[in-house]
Amino acid sequence: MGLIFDLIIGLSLAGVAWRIVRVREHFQAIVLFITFGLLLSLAWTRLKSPDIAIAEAAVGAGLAGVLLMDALGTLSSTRNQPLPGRFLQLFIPCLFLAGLMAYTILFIPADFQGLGPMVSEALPDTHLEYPVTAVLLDFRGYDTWLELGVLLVAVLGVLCVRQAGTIKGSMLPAPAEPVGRWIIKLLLPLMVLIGGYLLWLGAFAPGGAFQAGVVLASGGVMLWQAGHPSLALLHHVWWKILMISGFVFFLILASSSLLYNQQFMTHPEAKMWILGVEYAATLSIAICLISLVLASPARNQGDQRARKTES
Amino acid sequence: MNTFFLGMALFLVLNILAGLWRVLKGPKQADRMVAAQLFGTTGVASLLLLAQALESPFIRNAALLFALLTVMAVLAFVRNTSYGVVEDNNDEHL
Repeated sequence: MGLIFDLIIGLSLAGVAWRIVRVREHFQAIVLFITFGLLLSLAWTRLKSPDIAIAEAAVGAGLAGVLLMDALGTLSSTRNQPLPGRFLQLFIPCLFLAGLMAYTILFIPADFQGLGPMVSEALPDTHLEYPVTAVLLDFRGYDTWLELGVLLVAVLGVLCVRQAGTIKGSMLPAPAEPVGRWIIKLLLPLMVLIGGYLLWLGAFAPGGAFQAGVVLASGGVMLWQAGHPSLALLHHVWWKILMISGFVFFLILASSSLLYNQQFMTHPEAKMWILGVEYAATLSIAICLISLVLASPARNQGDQRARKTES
Repeated sequence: MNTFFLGMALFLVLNILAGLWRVLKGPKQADRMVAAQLFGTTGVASLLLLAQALESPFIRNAALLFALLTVMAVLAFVRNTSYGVVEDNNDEHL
């Protein structure tokens, strides 16, 4: 039964991905992309990775849909069919890369246990209870730190495209229909609650900074959709400080370990510091993601059109 | 019992695949959006079943997030269509 389930999930993932690439209508591609996220979440569940399943659920169901739906405003609603020659040019390198990745499987020793035993061996040193959090924030802290940097660069990129210094001036009118207003009122407190719950959970179970940050960001975006300025209420200095807080806190912690005559990124008093980094990272992930949505250029066009129809 | 839960989850996934027909055919964009919402609900149920089948209770949190967040895309959709940003090619009388 498990094999049938996995096969069907795998095949439908490939099929939906194929359709997303090939379909000419952008809206259909967006809906399929949301579906793809759901199927991917089911796949991660089957691979016994609840952390990634939760992250995929948060991103795929919440923010990706909103971002893509807003981006649709600046694009034409259909795209041209790619030339057959172009298709082959892309298909052969992709096939080559896929073959190369499949080839690496041959080099995995038969008795390979994965990195799990190594992690659980080193886990007591971090004073953390949950191995995934220990890997993300301690053993592979460098990766997580640079990922926070990637988010910052993404926000900078959007602001550059928009030629704006802040995310101010992005107010939306309140939803005209009562259902929208009602659902926002109902869900917003729950999002804040569940964001906090996931962050708290991250210390000892699947959850953590990224998942919590995405849920909090969804709350902020929802507030914005309700016609509230949301994040734009913050003074722009505070906005910048909070946005870089995760990255900077990580950096301070990483360099402070040099004072102890140790290597870069070894933490003294590991657990307290790691949880501190996690909280700061949650905050700046949430703020970066809200800024990404609020600063997306599509909305400006929408505002202009709305103004046009009003006048 | 676990096989039963997995079988039920499989049935729900097959339901999602059947629903994909509506996404592919449309004809209206609203039809596609409603199908995506249906997938969200079905996904919540199948994640809950999988949490039971694989005896991994934290998968329920993924289901919780789907239940909480799927509505965001609809809100964006309604906002954009009422602004006239999403151009609806396929139907003249909405």
